[in-house]
Amino acid sequence: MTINTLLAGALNGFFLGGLYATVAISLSLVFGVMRLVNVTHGEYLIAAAYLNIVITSALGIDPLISTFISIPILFVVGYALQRWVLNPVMNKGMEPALLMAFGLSIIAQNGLIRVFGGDSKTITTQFSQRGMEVFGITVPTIYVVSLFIGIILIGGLHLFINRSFLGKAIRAATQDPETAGVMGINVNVIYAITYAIGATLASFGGLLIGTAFSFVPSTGFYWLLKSFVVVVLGGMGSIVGTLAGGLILGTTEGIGAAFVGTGYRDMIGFLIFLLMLLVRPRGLFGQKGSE
Amino acid sequence: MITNKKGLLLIGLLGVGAIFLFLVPIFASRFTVFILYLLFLNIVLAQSWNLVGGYTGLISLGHAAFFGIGAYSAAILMSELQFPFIIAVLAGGGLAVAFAIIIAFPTFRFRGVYFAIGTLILAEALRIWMINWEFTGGAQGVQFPISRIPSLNSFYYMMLTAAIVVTAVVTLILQRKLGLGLRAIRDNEESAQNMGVNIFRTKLFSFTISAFMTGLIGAIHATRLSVIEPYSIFGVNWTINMINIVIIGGMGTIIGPIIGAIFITFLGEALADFYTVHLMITGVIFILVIRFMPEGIWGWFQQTAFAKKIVDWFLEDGPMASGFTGD
Amino acid sequence: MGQWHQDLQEIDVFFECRHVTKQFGALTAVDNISFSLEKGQVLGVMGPNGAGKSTLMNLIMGVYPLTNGDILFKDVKISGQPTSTISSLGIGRTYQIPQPFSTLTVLENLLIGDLYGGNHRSVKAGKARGMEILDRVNLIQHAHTKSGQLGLLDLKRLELAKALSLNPELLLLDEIAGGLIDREVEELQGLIDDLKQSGLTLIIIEHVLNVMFAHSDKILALNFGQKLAEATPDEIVKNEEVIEVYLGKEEQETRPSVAKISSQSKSQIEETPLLEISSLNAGYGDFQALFDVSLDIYEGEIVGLIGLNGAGKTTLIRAIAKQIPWISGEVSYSDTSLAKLKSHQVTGLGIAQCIEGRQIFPRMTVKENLEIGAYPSRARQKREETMQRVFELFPKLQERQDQLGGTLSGGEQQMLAIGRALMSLPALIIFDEVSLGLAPLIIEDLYRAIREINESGTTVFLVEQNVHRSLSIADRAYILERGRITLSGTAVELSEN
Repeated sequence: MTINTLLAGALNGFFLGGLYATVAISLSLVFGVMRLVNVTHGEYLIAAAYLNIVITSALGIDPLISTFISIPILFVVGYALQRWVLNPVMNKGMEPALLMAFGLSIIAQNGLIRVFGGDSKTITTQFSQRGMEVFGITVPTIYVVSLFIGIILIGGLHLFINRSFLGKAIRAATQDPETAGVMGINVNVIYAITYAIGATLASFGGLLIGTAFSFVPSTGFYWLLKSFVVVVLGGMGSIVGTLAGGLILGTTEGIGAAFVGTGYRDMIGFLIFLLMLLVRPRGLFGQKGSE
Repeated sequence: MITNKKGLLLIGLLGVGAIFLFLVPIFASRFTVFILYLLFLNIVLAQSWNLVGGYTGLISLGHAAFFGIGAYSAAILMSELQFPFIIAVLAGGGLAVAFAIIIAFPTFRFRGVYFAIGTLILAEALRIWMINWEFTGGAQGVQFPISRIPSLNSFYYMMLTAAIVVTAVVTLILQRKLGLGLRAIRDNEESAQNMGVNIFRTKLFSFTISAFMTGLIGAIHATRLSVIEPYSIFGVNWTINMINIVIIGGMGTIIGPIIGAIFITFLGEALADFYTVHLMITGVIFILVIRFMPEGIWGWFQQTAFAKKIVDWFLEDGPMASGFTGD
Repeated sequence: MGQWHQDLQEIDVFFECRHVTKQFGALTAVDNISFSLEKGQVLGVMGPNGAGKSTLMNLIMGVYPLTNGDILFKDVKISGQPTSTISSLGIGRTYQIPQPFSTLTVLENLLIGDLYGGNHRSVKAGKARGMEILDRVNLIQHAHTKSGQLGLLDLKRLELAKALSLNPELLLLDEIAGGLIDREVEELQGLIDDLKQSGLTLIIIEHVLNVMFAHSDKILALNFGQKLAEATPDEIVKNEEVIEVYLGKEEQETRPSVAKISSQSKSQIEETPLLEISSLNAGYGDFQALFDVSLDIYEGEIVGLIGLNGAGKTTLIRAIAKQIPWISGEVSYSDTSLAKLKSHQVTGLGIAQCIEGRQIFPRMTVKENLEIGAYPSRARQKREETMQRVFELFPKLQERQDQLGGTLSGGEQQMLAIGRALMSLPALIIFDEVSLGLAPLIIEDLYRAIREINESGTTVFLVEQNVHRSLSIADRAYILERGRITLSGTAVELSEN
């Protein structure tokens, strides 16, 4: 192994980490901030990717524009599911909501197979199958684009959560629902809005997954696990931490894969995740007591 | 514990049922035998998961790993090392226990849902390992020596016996010290500690017993499949299946997993040609059960007037059991 | 059972705490406490809320590690051992809020202690021992009932039975009489007597003081985690410091009685009260905590609600705020019924709460906490302005505005809680135990602030444990005992009572 393959692994991994972060944003909000173990996360990503293909071919427009058209659709679906399916069990501890999301995931995944079949699909954009030179090393263009999209979305979400009045209400409602109710906050509506925002963010994750890789309905599970790793690495409840978590995961995977072979690449990430949970459960950027 | 005549009647009925099931292969079609084999498989898996998830309160999303380890151990021991079938199957259960002990140390430190996420990720890490490991045949998997695979009827008897034994074992555990300790931990971990329960050790017992049963059944079923590969044998679908059955049937009860297994197995067969529709319907039922029948079909049934009548009838000549039945 | 314990050689130390200290972050919950107990003695531990009584219990049981000091039991150091080992050595404890294994039957609950803590093997023998204990605590008729279905008294009995099932030599009883009515308290007293007679060593924490005084050989009085006094019950009731902490200093400067009379007449003139509670019954699940509670609060008043721990004060507030369902009765706010409203809508009407335990959002800054207080739409627009007024009232909050809520001291958190309640521009504020666990100087500050808030036109409903402090500021007050209003009147009338 030359120093060059190592560097290439690290750099490729770093930019791929941007994609990881973007894909995980939604989970960072719903699981990290709102504490709902949203195992439906992967299905949102894949459903968003299919939705993108459908809109693109129906309207004959660019997939990038489709991404924005799918936002309101995902918002409505997310809002309705949280408000009427998940909210009724939110006050019974984390496990019932986890199981509820688990049921939704089964329905969604098989619904996607039913509608779209099992053939693997991709989204074709001007970034597909192209590379660009960074420090003399060729990196897939879509990875670099992902990092930029990730930075914009994470920055925006960070500002929204920490600066806007609604963002503060979301944090209050998720830290202490009962007291938030006393403050006059309708916690059920806040939960639904938060979850719906999470659903819309999947629109970008789905676009990137579809452009950079191929996908089938069951691919969501893979991305769910990746996202868990990113969110826990970065720190529960920290939006900026998610970016850091993604980049660290991508880079270590890239370096690790250079050593032990690409086949074990995903395993490296999972082991880092377990190590982090053991050593520092609150993650890199998580505040004290947030685990 | 059952001393009166009506109690004997109950045992008699169960005995007749068991004998009937043992006679099924003599007159029934291969197809019927196969479906019943699947039913028993589902019962054993659900009982195993229920011991950990339902009675100990540990939502494990990693049980597929135990299943896969059992399957692979048996396959390699039989094909590479020429082990006899029975020994290979038992060794499969044993290796699943070893894995359970290893992962207990990190995962028991995770509370609540983090335990669920931790076990999910560990199982997936193991799957990726198996896909890449040359020794176990990598992505191609392993083939069992065809000549030494038992007949369908033998599998039927094995699985029937396993279902009866596992159900009996779980019932017995629940009536003993261990079972009480598990339920105490599920109800209130802090209070259990105050009452002298060693939390780690007690959870470990539950976890390893469950792993053993899951691994054992993985080994048997893998032999029946004759060829196994890591993608599906270590797949999360096995875990999903166990949880579906337990939640729909009734978590933390003995009868629940049996009812759930009957429901899931026959629904699956009725919709065999529409696999995705079957799973979607299962998902919808799963959600409705969590929302409206949090104690599952069996829990709901126990609340009905009809069920109470039956119980009263059995109890009317004296206490049958002191309420110490575990569900 | 347990006879062999006594056959062992002489024990030098039966039970001893040496310089026991526990810090949670900056807070020292238990501060250098030492005391010892001989076999068969009964120790009562008293102190106001937040004095560190329950923390001391948890430290003995090994729930958290000590910051400093040692705990010895029968010559063995038990601090640092896991809880399960400590209980197996022979220390049982009951919880203030019963912690049953709710899906297990009553008898099964006891089997846990017998089989694990007592380290016995046979389920059958365990059942027999369990039935003996149930007979002793008068719970035998419920042996096969699921413990989740028991009422409060039975749950308290079960707590005791569970602790006894460990076959303990030392028993920690945490608020065993809390929330019970007189007859029930008497019955439990008889039980404690029995235990004492049988030679058990007891440590009793109790708010119902006469229960504790009747049984204890000595009393340990705590305040702010420190030992205030250690003496016999007779001595302790004469101890000036203890009296002051417990009943509050008799403040000379009560409100001019003229003001009281005027507001008294005001309440007669006004036609409708601002808040009117009539025959309210409410509780948690099967457990009813409030019985036929009726009270009125008129605009501009400060009305006190006085009651001991477990009397149902917090339950009443939660019922007003629609956080728990009502069984029957009515609460109306300037003629609007609250019956059909949700919790967040009550706040929208103009009723703010400053809740016991402060409930600050720990991972939000002081400023953000205040902003959230202005969530109701009529307050949101004016939030900058209101915040300035809050900062004038509590300049400390302005200094700390960018600090996280969780990092504030207790007094600052209470200021923040009050400030946050003001942010919603309420017409009525409910204060629940503002003085909980705070130093006297800070309490004075807070009370001054409450008076200012009232003078600027906000009606105040003040819920307190401390009689004198409450009456020093209130116009009128109600006394709540075991879920019922037992007395009401003007502050002057009640002071004389």
